[in-house]
Amino acid sequence: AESVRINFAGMFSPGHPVTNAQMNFKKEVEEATEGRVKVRVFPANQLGDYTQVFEELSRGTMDMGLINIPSQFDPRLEVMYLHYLATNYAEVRETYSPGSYLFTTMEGLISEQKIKLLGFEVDGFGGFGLTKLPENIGNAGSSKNILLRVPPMDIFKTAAEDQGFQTVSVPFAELYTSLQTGVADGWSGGSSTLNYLQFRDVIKYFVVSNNFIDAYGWLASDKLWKKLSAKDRHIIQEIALKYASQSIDVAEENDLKHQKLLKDKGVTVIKLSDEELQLWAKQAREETWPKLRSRLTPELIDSIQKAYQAKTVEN
Amino acid sequence: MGAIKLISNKILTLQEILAVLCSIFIVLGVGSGAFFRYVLGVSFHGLEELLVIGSFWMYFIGASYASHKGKHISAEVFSVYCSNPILRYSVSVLANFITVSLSVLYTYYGWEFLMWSFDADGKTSRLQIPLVFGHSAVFVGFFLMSCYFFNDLMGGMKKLKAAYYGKPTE
Amino acid sequence: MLSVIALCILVATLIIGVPVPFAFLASTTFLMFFADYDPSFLLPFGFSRMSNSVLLAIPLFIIAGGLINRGHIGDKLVDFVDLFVGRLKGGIGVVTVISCAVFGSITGSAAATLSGIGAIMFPKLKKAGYPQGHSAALIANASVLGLLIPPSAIMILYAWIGNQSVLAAFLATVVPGIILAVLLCAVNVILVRNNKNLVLEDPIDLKTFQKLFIKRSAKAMPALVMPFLILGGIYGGVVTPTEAAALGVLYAIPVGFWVYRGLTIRSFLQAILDAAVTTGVIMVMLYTVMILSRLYIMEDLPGTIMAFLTSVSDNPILILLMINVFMIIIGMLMDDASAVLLATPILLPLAVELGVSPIQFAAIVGVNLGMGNITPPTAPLLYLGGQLGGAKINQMMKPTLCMIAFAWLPTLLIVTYVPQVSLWLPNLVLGIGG
Ligand code: NA
Ligand code: NA
Repeated sequence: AESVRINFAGMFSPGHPVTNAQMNFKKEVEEATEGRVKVRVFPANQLGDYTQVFEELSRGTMDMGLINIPSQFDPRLEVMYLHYLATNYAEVRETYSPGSYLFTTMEGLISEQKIKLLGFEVDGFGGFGLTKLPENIGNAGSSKNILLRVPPMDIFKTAAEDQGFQTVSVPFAELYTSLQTGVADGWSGGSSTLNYLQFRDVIKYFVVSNNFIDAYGWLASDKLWKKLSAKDRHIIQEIALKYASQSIDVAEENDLKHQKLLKDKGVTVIKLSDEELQLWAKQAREETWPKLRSRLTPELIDSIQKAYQAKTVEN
Repeated sequence: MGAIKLISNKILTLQEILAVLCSIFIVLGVGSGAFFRYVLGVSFHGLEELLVIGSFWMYFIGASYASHKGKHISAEVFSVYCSNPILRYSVSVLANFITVSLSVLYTYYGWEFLMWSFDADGKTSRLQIPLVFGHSAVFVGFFLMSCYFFNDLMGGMKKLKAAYYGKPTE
Repeated sequence: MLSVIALCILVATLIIGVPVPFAFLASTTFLMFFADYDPSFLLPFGFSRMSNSVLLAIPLFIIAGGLINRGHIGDKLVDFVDLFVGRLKGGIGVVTVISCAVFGSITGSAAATLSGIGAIMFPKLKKAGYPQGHSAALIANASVLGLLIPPSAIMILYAWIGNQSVLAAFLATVVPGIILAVLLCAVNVILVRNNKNLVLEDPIDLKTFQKLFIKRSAKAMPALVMPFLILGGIYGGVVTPTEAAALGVLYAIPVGFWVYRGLTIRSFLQAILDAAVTTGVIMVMLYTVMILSRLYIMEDLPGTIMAFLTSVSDNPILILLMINVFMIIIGMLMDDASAVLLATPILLPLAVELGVSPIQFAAIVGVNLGMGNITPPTAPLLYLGGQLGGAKINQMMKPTLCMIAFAWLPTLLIVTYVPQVSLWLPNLVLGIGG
């Protein structure tokens, strides 16, 4: 029989852990399907950025992607960036594994785009990389006199402003220079790993605020899914899930490792205390989430708030 | 014939106005972004989404205007080094023909892109502006370019014919 | 194999005179039909690649360049430079080269430099007795400094395609630009050293010099502020490169209208329209090359070329030389913008594999494709220089060949094999690239 060719797009350069996961996936899939499926990995945005790859997955001109999930066709997809869905890695595993409230919601929303969500690749908690440090950094809501670069999403802007930052939008490509020259005093939107890999020379402080989870989607186009036999679908799903699940363990390790590497590099790493962290989480859930009702739809916010209230009662 | 000329002149004027307006919009937009942030300390989130839409209209209106004025860059190696006028004009007609065909093909793809964009109903992430506002520039640009290149092809064929009957029209 | 045919189609359509963006589309369309790609992603892909506000720097620098040209900012700069080097033997030629470099620091394009400085220098060179062919060749060659001295439109393109910092790419070509300027001055002086017809400017005493210095620097000051505004603004953290370009426009408007009084409402609008047209031409080319390089990547053309190069030799020094030869050929066939768009996605991965830093490669690309502007058959600056200077191309060939052999190629070799030349400044200012 003719083999199925999978073009698999990724965002990171060769050698990056996420790209390595893609390469390992390729190897395992090709072995397990005994040549019925051939995978070609295109790292480093070679086939376009994640919005483009997502769009093409939806059209069926791309087969698979391990990418950020963009929201241009459905703002509700931003729900995965809602701040403080989890506050520690045990909660991350709960939140980002199949069957969870978030996973089921995202799976449903993504399937409306004719794309299948196979799993979440978790990169770690996002924190603040800063070039100057306000004294009251531990206080959830107080004004911090910091010009913070946020990704171009309502969720980040609203959350950062509720947390007491002034926000600025700078294209990611210009972020490094902007931090260096003072166009921005810091940024939200990246894990300790990303802060170490790309910004260690320019930031002076890294605040472990566990704001949100930086995670990417293992995605496959419906068109590809229809082409595959039931057996190969199962193989691909299982291998993707294996790496997705591994990524959560690796993320926790990497987070600690890169916090230490940042320290070694001379970056001051500030950890919020458990008590502070719970206050930040409470503030996000009670103050910020309701403000996002119009963006994410009232139904979504209401049901997610209900789910979290139930959880708080349980605890 | 007169009506076509009149309409095409109106369209050209419209292109000029649109190109200038888009350019000024971009200068003021980018400049005021810096001004607001640096002088007033506030940031206009989503400004770049408006600028990107303006820029695509500037690019495609500018490029279609350029095809009217014959300002697209081409290598023209052959026409410089070929001294036989009939051969030179024939090759130039071939080049025109290839250009028109491709231009028409991509006008069609531009139309499909536009229709897809309507259906998919995407919006920019901050200001929720429909993506179709930017996408439509591609179709309009290729459409206008097709018209102007078709005109060039007709002109090229006339020259070739004149050269063939020994009446070069340099 | 298909990708090689696609490359041949690109070259063939270029040679017969198909406009560059449509030559790119011809190659794209061939691959689409014969390698069986769904066409529906092509236009959206180009669109998404170009939906980036960083690219707005290109139209903004083009608009700024147009306003500067029409605002008579060039004459003030030339008068200023003339004061220092105008009195040497071959001095007016040296003034030309240095004026191009200074003018280049306020505009992003070589063509703007050529028309800005050319209009002023051609009459002066003629009066001083320089052969017309020599003058035209000299200005055409020196105008490339407009794109090596930042800001530079093609370095913005490079940085964006290669995913590099714009500022770092700007800084990488500064030292190579200075080396080229010095070598061009030297070649000029040597070429005219035995020319009996040269008229020298009268020497001046110190007092006159001081008087002239005050007068001319005051006149030139508003123009000389511009590079500090642009580069200082970027490096000082006030603005991003894109915003700096807008600042350049907003500064050139009052200076052109009221300080130098070269601008009128009519010429202002014309300059904007011209800039929009130039931008449209470049950006649609960019759009089409994005689509084309996507298919080249999916067909693994860079891999094919690398395999070919390494099969010829496995010595990195030789491969680097061959990459240069490849770029020189591209430069002979295309203008600088299309060439950088085509060469960067194909060659950058190869260069990185050979251990060349992407920032050094920016300088290699800049010098190489900058030179492409004056290497026939496609030599837009050479032709424009001849047109503006009233010289025939064959009169310009001998001096141009001398400049290629003794200024361009040495600069290119230095930049290719001495990384420090391009990395020193980015390293000093940004702490990267080393
Ligand atoms: Na320049
Ligand atoms: Na050339």
